Amino acid sequence: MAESLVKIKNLYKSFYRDSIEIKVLEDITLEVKSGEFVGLMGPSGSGKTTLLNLISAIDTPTAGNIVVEGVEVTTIKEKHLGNWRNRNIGFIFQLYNLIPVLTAYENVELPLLLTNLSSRERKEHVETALRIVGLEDRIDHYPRQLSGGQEQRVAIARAFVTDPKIILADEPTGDLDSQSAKEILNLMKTLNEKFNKTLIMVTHDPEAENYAERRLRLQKGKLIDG
Amino acid sequence: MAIPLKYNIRSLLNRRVSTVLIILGIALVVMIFISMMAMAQSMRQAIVQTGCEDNVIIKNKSTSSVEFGLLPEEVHNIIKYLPGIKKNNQGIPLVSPELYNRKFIKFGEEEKVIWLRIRGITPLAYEAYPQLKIIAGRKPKRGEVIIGKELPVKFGKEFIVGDKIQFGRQEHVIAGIFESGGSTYEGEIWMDKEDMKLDFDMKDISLVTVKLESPLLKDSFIKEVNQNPRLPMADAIGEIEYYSTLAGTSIFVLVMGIIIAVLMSLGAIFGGMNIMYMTIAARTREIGTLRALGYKPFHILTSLIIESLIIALCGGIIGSILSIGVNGYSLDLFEIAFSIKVTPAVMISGCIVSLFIGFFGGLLPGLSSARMSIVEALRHV
Repeated sequence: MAESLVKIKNLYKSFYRDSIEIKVLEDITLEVKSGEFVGLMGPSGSGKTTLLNLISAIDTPTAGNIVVEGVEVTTIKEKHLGNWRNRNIGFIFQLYNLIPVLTAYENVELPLLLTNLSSRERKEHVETALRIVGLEDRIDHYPRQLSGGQEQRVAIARAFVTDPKIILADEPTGDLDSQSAKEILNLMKTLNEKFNKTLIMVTHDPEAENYAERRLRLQKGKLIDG
Repeated sequence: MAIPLKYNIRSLLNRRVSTVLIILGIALVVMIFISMMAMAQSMRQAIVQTGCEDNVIIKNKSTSSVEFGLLPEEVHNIIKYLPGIKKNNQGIPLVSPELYNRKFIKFGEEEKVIWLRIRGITPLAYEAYPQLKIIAGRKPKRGEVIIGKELPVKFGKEFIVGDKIQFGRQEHVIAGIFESGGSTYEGEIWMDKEDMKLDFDMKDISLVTVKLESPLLKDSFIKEVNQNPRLPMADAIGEIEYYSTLAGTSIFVLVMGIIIAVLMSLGAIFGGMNIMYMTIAARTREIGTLRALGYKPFHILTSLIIESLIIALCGGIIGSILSIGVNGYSLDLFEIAFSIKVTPAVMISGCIVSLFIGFFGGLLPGLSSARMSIVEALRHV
């Protein structure tokens, strides 16, 4: 039986806007096992992206615990958070978030520049990642020279090039046509099944949720299915 | 430095117009800074170069400048018998009695007002000032003058031997043109002392220049003159020391130059800061993404400061190159004629100023972006 990679217990998150408390997440308790592909659905404003931000330590909870691979994320010191994220978390964003002035190769290489890998080793990793996503012939292309689907594939390559345990995808097909969306979802499925990556994907797309083996639903900050 | 330099360079190329504008702004600031510093430095050098180690000036003790005090002519006859004075081949002590005056004239059709510095000399002066070299013509006779090579700057026209200059009671023929190693003498007109007395109705002399046998005798000679009961009005001072006190005027230029440069630099810093803030606003999501990937606030700060420094250094280099345009330009400022020399040291200091501008122009925007909330940055459209 696969062990739990992510353990969330009694998680709360509130924001304050003009001194009004806005509760985004309430009493979330959840476990994600290693190698799971989890789909997180819910209406807009239900807290889906916030949950991803908390798991990745981009944001801090108001209360509760988040343990990722045995490490209590909230106790990681600020100066170590960057390194921890770099090693353990891969991101896929809805709008790809590629750096426009860097080529596909250079975008994928970005997370590796924070490691101790040599230039040759980085090259190997990047070329392998781009080959897996099927863009080995687009290495020197800039994002403006790629289609939306190709950009997202570069983003996916960037997400797993450091070999993180978890990949967090926030509406990865939100900006794509249905054909490109299918390609991306198939790729993510491959990462999950072939490379045993744990995926947590936020989506509105009913087609996309079918790719997830486990579906969770958030409503008004609360987990309905867990 | 984790964020690759190519990111900064390509980002700058991506926004060419604003990059070029800020570079040109900084180039202008640097060019003005270098020009002012070079001007002050060259002026100071012209003053300081005016003087020999073994020359002593004797002037009226009631004034700090030879221009304003007079000495009776007989002073010369007392001084020439003092010990330690060098003699020429004919055994004549090199003691040069001189008149010094400034007159303004109106020149040309536009009646441009020009201040002339005129020195009345005897033939011994040419031996007391060995650095003086006649580069055209010859020594003047009675009724003629010889001019320093920087004098044309005042008139805004070149002179040749044979031309005439009107001042005093008559026109004076230019018999020769001299140079003297970049000293302030190069902005003067020299004429016969007796001609000058007649021209300007002067009876006494302004100063006596004495050439000593050795610079080592300077202190004792000065003491001898200043304590001599037969020379109650006289004040002796080394020629170099005398002109060094005049160098104080160059400090004024230097201070003015620094004030102007600082004010313009502040303007450039705020301009640069504005551009960097706009840059950060346009790249907020990029910055958020980098942070999400693991880049630390320090990486972001360093990257943005480097970008600002690149812009500034480009401006500095261009400004330095443009400042070469003033190299060799002749000026007559505070009655000192000199040529501006833009030295490599001044150009480097200009580039350092540009780096200051770049650093401070990028610091606050860099700090602001480094402290940005990752969540807010990723939401930015």
